Amino acid sequence: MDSPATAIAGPPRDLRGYGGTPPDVTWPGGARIAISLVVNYEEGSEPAVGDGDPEPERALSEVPYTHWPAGRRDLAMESMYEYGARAGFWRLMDIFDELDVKATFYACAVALERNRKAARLIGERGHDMMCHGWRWEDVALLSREEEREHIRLAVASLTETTGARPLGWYCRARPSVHTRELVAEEGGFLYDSDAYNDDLPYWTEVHGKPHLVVPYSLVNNDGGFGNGAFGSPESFAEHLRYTFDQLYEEGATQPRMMNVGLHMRVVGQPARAQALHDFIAYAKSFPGVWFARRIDIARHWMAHHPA
Amino acid sequence: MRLRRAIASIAETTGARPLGWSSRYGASLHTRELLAEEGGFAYDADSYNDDLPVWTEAGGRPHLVVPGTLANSDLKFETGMTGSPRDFELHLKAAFDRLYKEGAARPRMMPVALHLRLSGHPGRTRALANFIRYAKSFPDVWFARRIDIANHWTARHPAAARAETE
Repeated sequence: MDSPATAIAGPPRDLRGYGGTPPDVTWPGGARIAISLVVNYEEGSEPAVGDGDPEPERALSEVPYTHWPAGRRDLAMESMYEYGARAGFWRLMDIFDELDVKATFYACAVALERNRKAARLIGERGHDMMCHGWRWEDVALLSREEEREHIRLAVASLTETTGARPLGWYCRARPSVHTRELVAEEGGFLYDSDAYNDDLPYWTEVHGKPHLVVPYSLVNNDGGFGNGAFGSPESFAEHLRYTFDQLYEEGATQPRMMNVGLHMRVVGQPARAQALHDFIAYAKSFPGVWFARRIDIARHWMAHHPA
Repeated sequence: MRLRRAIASIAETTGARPLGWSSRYGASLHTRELLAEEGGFAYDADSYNDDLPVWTEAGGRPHLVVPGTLANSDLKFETGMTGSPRDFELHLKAAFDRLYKEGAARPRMMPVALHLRLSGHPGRTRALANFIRYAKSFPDVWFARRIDIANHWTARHPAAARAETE
C-alpha cells in the first residue's frame, strides 16, 4: 500500500521510485555520469546574535556542536564563517577556473547582499545559482505564511544582487511540510532539490501539476568533516573517488547523476580544497563525464524526460 | 584586571612581556578593545577568517590581526574530527600543497595549531615531525614565529598604506 493516510499535511512518501527500471537517460555527449558540484553560499546569513537571533549558529564549523549562552555573540564562530566568504569563495572559484568546470551555488539571499562582488562573479564566471533561502534558517520552524514571505524576499533579493531570478530551490537541509507547495505556488521555479532519495531527477506532483525534483546528497558532502565522517582530506577525496567509480561503472548501461555538496568555510580550507581539486582532476581524466550545472540537468530532464 | 595579571605573570616567568594575544577559543566583545587600551601588544590572533594578516581598528587606532586556525589544529583529535595521526599529517600536507601552489603568485600564511597534551603524545608527534620534514624539503618555505610575521607585516604592509589603496 501507499503511505498511510494521516491528518498531517505534506507530501506523500514514495518508497518505490523508479523501481529498478529508470528511464533511458541520454546525457549530452553520451556522458555516463553528470557531476553536479554544489557550493553552499551561506556565510553571512546564518543565525547570529548580532542579527537579532536568540542564539548564534552552532553547526558545520571547525568545532563540534557545543552549547553557547543565549544572547551572546560567538566571535570565534562568526570568524570561522567569515573565512568561507573571505578566503574559501576565492579559492574555490580559482579551482573551478583552473580545471574548467562549472558549479551550482546554493545562495542564501542575505549572504549575497553582504558580498555583492561575489554575487556578481558567480554568474560572470558561468556558474548557476539556486535559492537557498532568505537566510540560512530552518524553514520547518516557520509558519506557512512566514515561509511564503521569506521565499518571496529571497527571490527578490537574489534577483537584485545577481541580476537573474533563481530557477531552482533548496532549503536549509530540512524542508517543512509546506516548502514544496510554496515553491510551486511561487511560480518561477523549474525544480527543487529538497530530496536525498535518488540518483536521478524525477517528477512528482504538486496540486495535481507535475513538479521536477533534482535530488541532492548529504553523503557526498563536506559536511562529513564536521561530524567525523572524514578524518582527512584524503578520506574525503577517497569517498568521492569511490562514489564516482561506482556510478561511472553503472553509467555504462544506466547513466547516473553524482552530487558533490560543498561549503566555502569547510572545503574552502586549503587542505580540503586541495582534495577537491584532486578529485575533480581525477573525474576529468575519464571520457564521458559531464560536469553539469543543476539548471542544465533540470532543463535536460524537462526536454528529454518530460512529465 | 586578568589581562594585566596575565601580562605581569608571563613577564615574570619568561623574562619578557607578551607582544601578541590569543584568547581561549574566541574573544569576548571587549577583548580587542582591552588589548588596545592596555597597549604594548603588536597584534592579536583572535580570528579564524583569513589566510593573511589583516588590519582592523580598535580604540580608534589601527590594530593588527594575525589569524589563527581551528582547521589545521590538533584539536581535531579531541573532537573526533580527525582519526589517526596519519589523518592529521595528510591534512597538514594537503594544506601545505595548496598554499604552496597558491603562493607562487600570492604568498600565504599557514598556521598550525598544537597543544602539548594532544600533539605531545608520541604517535601524534611523529605525524607532526613528518609534516615538518615534508615542508622543509621544499624551497622558499619560511617557518616563522608569529611575532616575526607581525613585525614583517607592520613594516611592509603598514595600516596607512592599506587604507590608501582602498
